[in-house]
Amino acid sequence: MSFLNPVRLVFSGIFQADVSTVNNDVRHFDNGSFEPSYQEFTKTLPNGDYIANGWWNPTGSGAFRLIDCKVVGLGLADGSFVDTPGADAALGMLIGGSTDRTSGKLVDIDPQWQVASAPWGLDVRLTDGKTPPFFSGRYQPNPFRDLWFTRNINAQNDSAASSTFQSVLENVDWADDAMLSPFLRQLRDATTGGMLSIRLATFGFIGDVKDPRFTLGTVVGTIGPQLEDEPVSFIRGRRFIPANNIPYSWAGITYFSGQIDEPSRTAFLDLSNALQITDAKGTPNPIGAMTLGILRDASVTENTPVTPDNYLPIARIPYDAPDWLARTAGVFAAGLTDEQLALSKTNPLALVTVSDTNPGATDLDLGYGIVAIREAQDGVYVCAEPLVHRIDGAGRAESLVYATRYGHPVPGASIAITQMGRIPGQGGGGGLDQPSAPIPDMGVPESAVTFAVNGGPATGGTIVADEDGVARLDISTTSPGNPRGYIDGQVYLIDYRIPGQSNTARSSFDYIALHVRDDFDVPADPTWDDIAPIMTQYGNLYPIMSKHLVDLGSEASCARHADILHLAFSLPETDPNYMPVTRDLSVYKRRTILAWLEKVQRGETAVQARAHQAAAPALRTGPSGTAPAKAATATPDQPTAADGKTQFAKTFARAATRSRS
Amino acid sequence: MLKIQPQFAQGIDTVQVLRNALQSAVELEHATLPAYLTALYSIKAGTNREAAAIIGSVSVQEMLHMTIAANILNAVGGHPVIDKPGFIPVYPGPLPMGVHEGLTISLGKLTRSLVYDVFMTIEEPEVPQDYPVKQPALAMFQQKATAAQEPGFATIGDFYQAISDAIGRMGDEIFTGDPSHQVVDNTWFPPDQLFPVTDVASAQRAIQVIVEQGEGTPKSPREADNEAALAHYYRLAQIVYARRLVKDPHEPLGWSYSGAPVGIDPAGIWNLYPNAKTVDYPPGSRARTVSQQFNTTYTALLTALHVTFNGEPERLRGAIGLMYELKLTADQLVAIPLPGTDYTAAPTFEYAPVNV
Repeated sequence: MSFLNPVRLVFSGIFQADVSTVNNDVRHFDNGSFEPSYQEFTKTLPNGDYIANGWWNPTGSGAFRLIDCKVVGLGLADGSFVDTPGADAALGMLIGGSTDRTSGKLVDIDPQWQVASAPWGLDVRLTDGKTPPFFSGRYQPNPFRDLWFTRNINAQNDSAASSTFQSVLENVDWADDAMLSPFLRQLRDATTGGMLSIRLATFGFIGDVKDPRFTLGTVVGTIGPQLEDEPVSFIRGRRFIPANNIPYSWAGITYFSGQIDEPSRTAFLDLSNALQITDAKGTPNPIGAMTLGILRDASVTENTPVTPDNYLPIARIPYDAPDWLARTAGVFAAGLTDEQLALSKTNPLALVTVSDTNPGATDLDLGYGIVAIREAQDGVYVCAEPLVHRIDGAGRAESLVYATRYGHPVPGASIAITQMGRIPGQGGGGGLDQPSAPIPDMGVPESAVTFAVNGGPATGGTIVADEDGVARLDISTTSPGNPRGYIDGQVYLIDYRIPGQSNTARSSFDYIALHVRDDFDVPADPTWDDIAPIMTQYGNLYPIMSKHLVDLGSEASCARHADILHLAFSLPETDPNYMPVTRDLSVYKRRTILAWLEKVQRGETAVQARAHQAAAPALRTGPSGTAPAKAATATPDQPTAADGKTQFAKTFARAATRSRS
Repeated sequence: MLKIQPQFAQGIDTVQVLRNALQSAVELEHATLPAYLTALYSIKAGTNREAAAIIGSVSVQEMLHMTIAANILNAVGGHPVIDKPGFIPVYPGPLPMGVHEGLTISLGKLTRSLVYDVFMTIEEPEVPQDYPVKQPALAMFQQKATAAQEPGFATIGDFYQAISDAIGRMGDEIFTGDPSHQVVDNTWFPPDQLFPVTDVASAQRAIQVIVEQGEGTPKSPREADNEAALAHYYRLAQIVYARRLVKDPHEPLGWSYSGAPVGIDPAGIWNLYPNAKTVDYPPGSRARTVSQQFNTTYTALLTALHVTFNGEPERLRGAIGLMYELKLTADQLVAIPLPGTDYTAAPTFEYAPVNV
């Protein structure tokens, strides 16, 4: 059920993604060819050309925040939905981040795989502005899904993009006062495992530093119960897919999921990310009167007309009502008749639109509407989690692959597992004066990643689901042997599907992604020379650190700030203060850095004595003691394009279309 | 020397009055920080390093003093209250306890007059030493006149002395607090400055740390136990007199402001809008957004400190993380120009438990 539950909380507001962009170009990881200009904003020339430099937000902090997110509606167990102020104590409250910890961070797995960003260290709470919050929990870092770049038809690139973040809040605490709200009592009673299900949909992002809303975007969210044995990062239910091209159907609708709850005889759709919009607020692009229904004839395809004989409508979807997206967070629920419930178990769901023009329609409209998008062929849906693994050299990881047909498990389903193999040219940039470092290939050597197939290791093959329709993908790795040179480890993409599934059956970036780190011998007695390449790289890539806090490329600066660096590098990866923010450092290199810092703390390095001497009287600097730093990053003189993810995706699409088909 | 309303230094005769006085001490030590931090944040990254180091080091020690006061309060069975709106003074305005009637604490960019008029007044010793300024060009800066002893007002030193004396009178039996509430992470402050307060002796030693770091000793500008550091008053005076205070055998007092230059490069100072409030920034403007974020982080920091000082001392590390986030947010804020003015946005240090 997850957030697609009668009991659900709807909020809407603003999100901030103050991500750093120097690391958007993999070539910036090459210390040898790094230029100071890579820490500057993109520069647009009078003739329209541009120099990418450090892209659109080189001084980003990585912070991911929920701002002014108000609870606007509540679904109750009886299927009713309330949104009038005063109807429940939780209405009008705020969904916010931590009250007493650092902000969460939005983190990519690697510059060569920028389409699996996940929030780390993000606390989410329901609050009225006083403490304690009614509930609070920690967002489990699962990456976004169903990212597309063409949602806002009046914007381009990242500003036009949209995606969903589905996960769970863990270790949820409830305040006694929360029980004053009938809704919150229902939510607490319905959920399991100390968790809550949460789904954000994010769009309308502003990446133009000249815009007052720089780094901000629109978010709509839903929180509901997390039930036992459910996946935490996707809906194991009904999957709607575009027929012919990624990422959207002829009606401009992208991948989305639904679920049919048999006990309450309710069909739920998550349309938070599905429909095109005309502005950053989420005003819908009108595509006519839209209904949810069931195809009596399972062979009816997208963009063909329906008739009463082959289509059983369930309900009209008021997506075009004022502020519908913000008021509902895109969750649509409709009760089912006996006939509808029975038919839904064997037949595909569909959205059908009736409009005057039916733009794009290729067949005659008989007046009953055209299939705007429909459920996958045979209702088959395969989805995996975790979608991202970070593995140190020789290690293991496991993802679960869920096979579903018309919302029900497919026992014994075969799942084909394929490494995408060598992919060249990922994670570069455009414009003039591009970095001189070569772009390393992804996905090689394939031998470094194997799967347990038929009891033995193989670089690909078929795994089989159990009686619950869940296949275990057992991944083993060895150190890839530094195939990328200037950047640690290797990134691998793993394709998974039921044999015969079409390329469009799964959304653009639906791969299991691995970052397998290189082996690294931890020196017994590390010197600065051992860690200088690592620290210099971080200093280059994160000017927010190197210019404002600690000059990571400087031995003296690192020594002077050894205490705080040691703290940050020794925190658990889930802590919002963990360094590096990017969570891309192997355990081996981390041990080496910590060992060096401990030497400094014990006074065993020459530079330590010098550093402390030079720092007096600011002997033990806190955050207010500014680090030596280079000049501040200049404010750009031209608006810059916020095209980070777009740039990445375009390059990937070119490579992927070839290798995936 | 700051003067306070005399009732704060008199009649500390019950444990509850003592706890109230220590809560006031926590508030007083915090109250100077927004002013110091605003001046610090006005310094552009990589410029004015000497001034930044001086103000930064004073700020860090005020944080230490706040921690010490909270430790003493915890030791005598009290509970520091830090996460309430009233904890933050209104700026511009007076310090808590009516400290130094007439002194207005402002939030503004770093200037010599701010350091001279406000910061040095805050940190002024009971008997400030007028070490000579040897730079002729700076002769226009007159030494700060020794404050007249105004009858009817006690000094901050008197206040802390009264607390120390009261603790001595009441004896070890008032130390009923849970020792596990003591905040003594020596990663950040050495054990001779930050140590558990468990009895009269350790409490009185802790108070001595506060007073001497702030004022020095009557005989020396240095803190007693830290040869490397000057008392705050003299440390700050180096900015005003543009020279390091160094030992000088040619001077009767043994010191003069004749060391290395301590300049202020005006190009390295953001022209902060003085005593700003978030509502000054138009709704929807970048300044408004970032200012609200700053206040949310600042309030989170106070909340984290409240938790730290109320039984979870290990949370200090998370609070320190918030201090860094606060600085990064401030660095964003101060670079935002305010349209139609020559100013840039300034942090406002307002209570904001939620970011709206």
